[in-house]
Amino acid sequence: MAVNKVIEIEDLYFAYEEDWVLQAINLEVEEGEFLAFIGPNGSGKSTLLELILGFIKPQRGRVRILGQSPQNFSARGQVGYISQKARDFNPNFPATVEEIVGANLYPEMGFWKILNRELRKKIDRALTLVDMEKFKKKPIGRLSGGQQQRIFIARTLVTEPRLILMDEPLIGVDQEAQGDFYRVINQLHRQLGITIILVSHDLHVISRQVNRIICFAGGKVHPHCAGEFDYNDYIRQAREEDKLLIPRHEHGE
Amino acid sequence: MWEIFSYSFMQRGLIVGNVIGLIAPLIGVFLNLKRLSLIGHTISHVALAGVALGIFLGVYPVPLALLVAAAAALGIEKLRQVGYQGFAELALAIILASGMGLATILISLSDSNVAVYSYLFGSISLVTPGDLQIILPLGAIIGLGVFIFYYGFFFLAFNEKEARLAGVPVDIFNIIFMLMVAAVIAFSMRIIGGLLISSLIILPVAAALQVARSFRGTVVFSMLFGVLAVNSGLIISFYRDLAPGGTIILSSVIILLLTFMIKGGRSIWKGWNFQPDKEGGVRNG
Repeated sequence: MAVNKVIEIEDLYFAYEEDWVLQAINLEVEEGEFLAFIGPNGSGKSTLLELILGFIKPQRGRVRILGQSPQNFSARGQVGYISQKARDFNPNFPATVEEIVGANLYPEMGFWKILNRELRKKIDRALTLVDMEKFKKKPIGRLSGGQQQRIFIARTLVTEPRLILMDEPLIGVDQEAQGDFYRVINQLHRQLGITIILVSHDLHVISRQVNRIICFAGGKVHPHCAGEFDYNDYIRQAREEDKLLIPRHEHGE
Repeated sequence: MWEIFSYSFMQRGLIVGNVIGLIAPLIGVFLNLKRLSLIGHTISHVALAGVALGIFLGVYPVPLALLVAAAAALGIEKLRQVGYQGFAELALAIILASGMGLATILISLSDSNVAVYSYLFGSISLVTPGDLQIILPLGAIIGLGVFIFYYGFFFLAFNEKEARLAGVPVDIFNIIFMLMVAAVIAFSMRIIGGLLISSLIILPVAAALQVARSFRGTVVFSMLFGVLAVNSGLIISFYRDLAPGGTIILSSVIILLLTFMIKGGRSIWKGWNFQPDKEGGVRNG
């Protein structure tokens, strides 16, 4: 069977006004991969996610997601996205876990936009996958950071996606919850075969979890974290920003 | 006690009041959670410019008020999206200032301050059968609209960016929603009063947020409190000869205070019966 490419990026350039953030980017992601985007702040990791999702357009080059252009992408349910700001909502927002997860089923609700029994089953299934079914009726703002993160994963799972993109999902989440998070994500990757792309600062942990690491530096991506990607520099900056992580050894495939 | 129901003007007032008591908080839930609480206040002030224009031109002012309200609502939405992302209140202030400037000039040009006054403070006891013919279909349209767009509007209120990604047509929904807000305000102005309609958009929702534990619960409680405020306000104002609009608003304030007390009582009760949470991690709130 031919391997499906879920993401294809060819000769992509992107600039915010005058500043080039990404230059001559070529990247292919195959179905079933679990990969991480690593790099210092401002190296273009999150920008590339936004380009893949079609929130912004490249100045040059081509992006394909599940074989389609992100701007005219029609299979929304097949792609899940957890933004950096997912947990940045008002904790007093009056919504239960079930309502938050259910909202993602909007395109499947039919004309009257009702959550019928079949859709409710999908919500239950998604919550079971992240082991949060007991919390279905709880207000989202009352859950801990790690629990909220699982709800946001369930929210992407409810549409049965082939690909999930996560932008710094573990900021502000404690060590124990981080362990739980990776356990859940690994399970989804292995059992359901979902392709996962994770943007992270946490090179140390990530290297043990994912199949492939893409490093970002100097506006370019470095498939083997070599070249302009200076590992020591990265570690220094991450330490200064208090975002690390224990340095280990040089990374490669 | 039942005297109030024997007057046809009060019957009409009660019917129209109840419809507004249901739809104003209904759209208010989404507005307040989008952090646009003061939109009612802004649009009703701007709509006054339409009213003044109608009076100045000698035509029925409500359609003009609707037109101006709709333009203001869309203007706010545009400013919020384009110029002042993250500063929604600035968009409101800009439109409010422009509308008030225009309204002041048009009011000074028109002779009838009394007519303007009735749109500022409303006159629920002067509801005509014609008003019924407008408000009842409006209530039905708004109710049906929110029913169909419920999850879309909910998603927009929670997180616009993720709603867009999930396939919710965000821009169209924002426009539809803003037009619904403009319609509710323009048509309610003559009855509840431009200055008071925004209170019915905000206060019942503020009260519902104190007691509800889900979004659906917030919607139901908001409408319940809206209807409760309208009926108690109308009945008290009838027997005590008070201004109906003001009495309705003060009733909403009392309901809000009661919900504060209920919430306070609930946490004291929880404190007395405190047991460590077996599920772990869930904050006691």
